[in-house]
Amino acid sequence: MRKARILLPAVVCLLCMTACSGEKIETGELAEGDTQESQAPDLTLFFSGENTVWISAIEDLCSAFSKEYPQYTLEVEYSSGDDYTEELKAKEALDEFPDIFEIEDPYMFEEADMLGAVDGEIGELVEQPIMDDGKICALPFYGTSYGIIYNQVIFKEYGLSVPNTYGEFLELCGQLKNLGITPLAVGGSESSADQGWINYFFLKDVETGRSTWIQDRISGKVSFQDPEVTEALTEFRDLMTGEYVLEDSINMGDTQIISYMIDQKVAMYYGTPAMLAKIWEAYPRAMDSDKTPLGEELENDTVQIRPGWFYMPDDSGTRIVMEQTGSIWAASKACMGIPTKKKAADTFLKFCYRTENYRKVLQAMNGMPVTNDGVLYAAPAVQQNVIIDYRYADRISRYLGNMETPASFRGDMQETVHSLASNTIEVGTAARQLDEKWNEAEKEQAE
Amino acid sequence: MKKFDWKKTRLYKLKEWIDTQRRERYISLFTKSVAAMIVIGVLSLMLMGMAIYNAYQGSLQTLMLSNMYRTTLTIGRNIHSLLDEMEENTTYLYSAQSEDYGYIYELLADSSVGSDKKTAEINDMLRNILYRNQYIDHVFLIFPDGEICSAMRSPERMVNTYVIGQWYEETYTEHSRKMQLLPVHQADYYMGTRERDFTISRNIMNTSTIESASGEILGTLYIDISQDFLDNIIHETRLEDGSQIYIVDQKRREFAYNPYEGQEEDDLLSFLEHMDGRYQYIKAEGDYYIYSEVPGTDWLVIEKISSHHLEDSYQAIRNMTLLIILGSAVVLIVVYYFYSKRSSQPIRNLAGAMESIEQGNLDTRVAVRSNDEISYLARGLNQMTENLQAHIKRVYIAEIRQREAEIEALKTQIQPHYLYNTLDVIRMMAVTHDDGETAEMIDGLSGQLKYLMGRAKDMVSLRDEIENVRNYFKIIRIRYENRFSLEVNVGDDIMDLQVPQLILQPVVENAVKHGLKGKKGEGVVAIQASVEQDALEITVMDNGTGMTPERLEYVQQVLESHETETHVKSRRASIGIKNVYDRIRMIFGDQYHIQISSFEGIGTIVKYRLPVIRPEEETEQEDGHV
Repeated sequence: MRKARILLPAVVCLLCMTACSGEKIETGELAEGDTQESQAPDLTLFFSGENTVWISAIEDLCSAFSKEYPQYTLEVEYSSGDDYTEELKAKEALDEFPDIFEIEDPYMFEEADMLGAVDGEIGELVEQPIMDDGKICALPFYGTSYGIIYNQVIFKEYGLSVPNTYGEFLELCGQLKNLGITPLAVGGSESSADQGWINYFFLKDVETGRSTWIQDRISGKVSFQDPEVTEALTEFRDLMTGEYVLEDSINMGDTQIISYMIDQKVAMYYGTPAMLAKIWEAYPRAMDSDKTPLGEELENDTVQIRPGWFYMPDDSGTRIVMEQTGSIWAASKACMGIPTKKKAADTFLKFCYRTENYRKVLQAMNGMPVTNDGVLYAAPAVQQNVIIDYRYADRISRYLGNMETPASFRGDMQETVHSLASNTIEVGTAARQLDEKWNEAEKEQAE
Repeated sequence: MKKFDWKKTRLYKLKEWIDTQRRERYISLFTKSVAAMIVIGVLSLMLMGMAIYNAYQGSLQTLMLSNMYRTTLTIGRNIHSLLDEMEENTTYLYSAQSEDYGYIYELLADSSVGSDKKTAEINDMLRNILYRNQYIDHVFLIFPDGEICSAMRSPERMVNTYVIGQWYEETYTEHSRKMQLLPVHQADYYMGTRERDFTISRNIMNTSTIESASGEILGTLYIDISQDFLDNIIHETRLEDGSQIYIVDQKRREFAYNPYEGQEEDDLLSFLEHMDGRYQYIKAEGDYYIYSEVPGTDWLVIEKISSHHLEDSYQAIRNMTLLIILGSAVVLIVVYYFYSKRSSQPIRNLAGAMESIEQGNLDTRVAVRSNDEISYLARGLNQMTENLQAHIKRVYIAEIRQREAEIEALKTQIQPHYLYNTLDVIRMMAVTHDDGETAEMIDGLSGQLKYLMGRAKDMVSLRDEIENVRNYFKIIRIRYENRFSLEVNVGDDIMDLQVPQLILQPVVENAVKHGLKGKKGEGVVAIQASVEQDALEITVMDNGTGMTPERLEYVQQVLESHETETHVKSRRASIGIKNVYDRIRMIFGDQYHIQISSFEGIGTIVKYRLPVIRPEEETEQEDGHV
């Protein structure tokens, strides 16, 4: 009796247990499951990593964005090589085409139907959105331009003044040369010769006479071997290979050029405002005033360089202000086709152009604002003048290598121009090469 | 039909037997307390132990599974980081530039370059990939037209174009631009190789334009990675005994890595559908499968362990737990045994004492050491035994006194009828001889004898008692030539009150013997009786010599004492009055007694105080007091 009393529950328990451990498959959860599954980001961003200042400016911008809009995850990547467009194509080849990206050649991508339409509302933020058949396909982010950066200390010491014509400029160079100071350096990362000077002469000698030259070249009406172009090339070659230019400076880097300038061995450099920032960075005293707080001249002024800026005048005295875009944003078609992504992309673009954020980028890049709302930012007086002058100047965007010129011509052109500036080829050869390359690039684009 | 009688069944008999057993079986308090304590203590210990063990086992199992899960994560992460590297390696071809011909698409498009040169240039690029990681065995690029460029570590082997073509067809994914991950396989498209590799493949697009970058495949790049890579990362992680690592391609539903050749593991594949990302392990057919995904791939790292292996790992702990429980239980039992024994000792002492008292050994006393309920009981028992003993003693002595008195009387009862008859003959003889005095004496004696012998009763009427004294006095008066006289002054209404027999005669005899005998001249013994305050008071007075105060004190002492007077000289007298005194107190209690007062040369007064017992109450009184 008593045994039975113990046995019965035991049997019941055993039955229960065997019933539980049947054929069925149990699933189990472990508390500390590493559940941080990498979610696909809301937006992928790709930009050119050629310039460290630019990288940090964009990274700052993105982290500010993530802070303000934590609901959007942003994956930021920048190019590692020196050919940004090539990497952007490779991204597509890897099926990793970004949502928002910097673009060098919007029309090429637009033709391949890779770009999404940007809302008019956002397009209105900038002065000149990049349009194609009425579709806003890209947005310039900041502008830049070429001008002469000169050492005010030298100019003051020797009583030199800013030239008003190209003739006066050459005179100025002669004076400096006589003083034992090399007037000009070219080269550096600014492509002072390849993009700056060549276009100065192009604009001065060709474009002023025929503002439709580039279109005409596309339609085959004109050629690089036309007299006005060869004259421009000759003038370019003469200046670059003449006695006013620091020898071999075309192959020098920024730091080398800057150290020549600080040492007062070179007086001028044709570059973008970004160069100003580099000088200030390398030589912080460059920002010191030459006056006492009471407005009197300093007695013992030991500052080596105070950069000044002027736009190069043409023969008649008109300042030539190239309107170059420093960077362009575009959004992929795929991104703009998905409502959630489009919303994130729109938010990001608006965020970029919002004054307080935009100002920081401009400040970092010493860029010219391209927004409809003029943006000023804290910068040394010279820079402020650059911005203001730029804003009110007649800007010309019809330079060689702009968006209209065939995509691959830009790179190829530099090669020939570089050779010409190094005096390794003749003007005629250069003109012929340029024509060939243009044709080739056009053909390539047509493919 | 036979009537079922429950009471006749065997079961009922068995029940009865158990019931009687239960009723009869003596179970000591000690046994019960030990049993109770063991049940309470050991049972709770067991339950607690089991609960702790179960909880511990549960958490231990979770811990072990978590460890194994982490192992799979680690393996997954290692594979993932390799794949990250491979991602970079496969994109290398997009950035690789040959010095003379630029990007690969430029090289391939350049019609001025011979195909051998192109192959050489591309092989160079592939070789760059090959040497990026020591585990890469081969890198090859297959063009859509079947052309193959290949780089491998030495010793170089021939490519089996047929096999590799088949491989290409099997694995080619037309529209994918993503990296593909192919399971471990024998890389037999290299002749004579025994290497087992898993492969990363990717379609290399033509990036000459942005359109072709998404639409035109230049070729497919394959990177063979040695299985050693997986072997090594698995060997680096510390696996639980008896566990096995597999890698399964979830989409292809096949093993991507299975180092346990020859083992049929099809079961595992059939469980795949249950392995979903919300959980980390499944238990199926007695085996645990812990799994995690290799991030960004279809690969699943699975660690298999049979449940008995898992349990083996914590068996030692279980054994230890059980041992501790068992040890504790034994200690508990021993401690309880001795504790109970100690704590029940006084009770057993009490029980023993009780038994001894029960057997009549009233001298038994329980030693009291502690100060608790038991000691209270023990003291109570001791007190009770003492009281009982005292009471028994008193009742016993009263009985003895009664018997002694009766014996005293009976001593004179020898051959009563013969005596009566003889006395009657003597009396008739005396009458015949006109000896009136003798006849009267004999008559008195005969009356006394009759009183003693005929009435064997304890209680008699006062009248009879006084009559007896008169008979006695007849003899005394004649003996002492009428010097002594008896005066009885008792109302007729109280003559019928009941008194114990023979309470007056011994006192009167004392009065005559010790009081009057030594007195010169006439002596009187007076008996008075009255009812005062619900008590019958009888006074026996004599005007004899009286007692000295010392003598009086001595007599009173003798009366008060429980001992029987043994003094030889005064034996009789003492027996007489002491007997009366004891009997009254025994029969009626302490409030009834004899009081003696005596004054030397004046006389002695003996005062009885007795309850008023009327004849009809007599029976009742007898029942109550005797």
